[in-house]
Amino acid sequence: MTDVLLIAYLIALADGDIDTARYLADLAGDDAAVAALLEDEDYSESYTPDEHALLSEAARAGLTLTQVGTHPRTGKPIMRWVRQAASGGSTVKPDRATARGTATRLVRDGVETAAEAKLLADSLKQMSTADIDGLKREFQARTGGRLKQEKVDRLVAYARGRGSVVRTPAPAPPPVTPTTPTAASIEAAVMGEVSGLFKSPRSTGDLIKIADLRDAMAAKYGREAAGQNLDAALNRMDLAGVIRLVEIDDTSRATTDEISKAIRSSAGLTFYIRKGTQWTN
Amino acid sequence: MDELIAAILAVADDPAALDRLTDLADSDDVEVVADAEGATDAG
Repeated sequence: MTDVLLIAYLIALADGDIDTARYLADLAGDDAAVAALLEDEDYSESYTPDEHALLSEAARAGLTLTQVGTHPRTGKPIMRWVRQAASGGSTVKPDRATARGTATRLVRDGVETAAEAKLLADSLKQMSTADIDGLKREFQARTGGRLKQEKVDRLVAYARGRGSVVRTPAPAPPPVTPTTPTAASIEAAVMGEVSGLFKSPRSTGDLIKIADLRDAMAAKYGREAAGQNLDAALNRMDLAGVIRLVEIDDTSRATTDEISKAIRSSAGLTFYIRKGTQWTN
Repeated sequence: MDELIAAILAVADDPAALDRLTDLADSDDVEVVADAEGATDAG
């Protein structure tokens, strides 16, 4: 069995195509049939010498004895009486020669882009089996054993419709957990939130509600930072004159939620914050 | 990617398979398929 037949036989077996494998095995004993199958097909008519001997004189007109290939096992030239295709001239069609040159270059130099991959595929579609086999041998010689065969197998399986694109889900971003400011940094965090609230539409003139600040701190730094730590930081900032805590007596216009988030002390209900004399933001 | 060339050559006799491979290359999913464990069993 020739190398080409053997490879085809093994591929058929690997594909589970038993009928094709049997056909190839039978073909192995028929050198003439193999040679005919592997020869180029650039001719409108092609006859073996035995067939040519049976033709009439009229039928022989225009036929030329031409080497159409090389026997895959013996290396001897394969001679056929052929009639050139209508375009005539070269024994190889120009577009096929171009395709072969393009494919050879791409296989030699490598495929870097999707466009080059498509160009290679399109070129192969125009080439003969013998040319493609030669290209495969050239490629194997270039790459040696460096190919990652499992990758090739997956791509071939995909191409044959036995695989699919299975994307590995991108790793989920780590959950954003609020970072509780340290005692040293909580005042800076509070200042940042207070400054933001003074600039927000929810600010009522020079006053912001402690409830709003507590909500903002809880959303950004977590419940702990919005609890007693916040109360302590506000008291320190009040003492330093950065802010002033404002108490209210009339809670009729406050919601239950706002009241619950204000600071209740023996002095009353500390509900608002305004800028202190040391305010610098 | 030499593995892509090898795959193209391996399916050179199958125009539909060639098109499927080149479509794959066009969508930049070649590495996804080549590297995906179990991808060949998923179809």
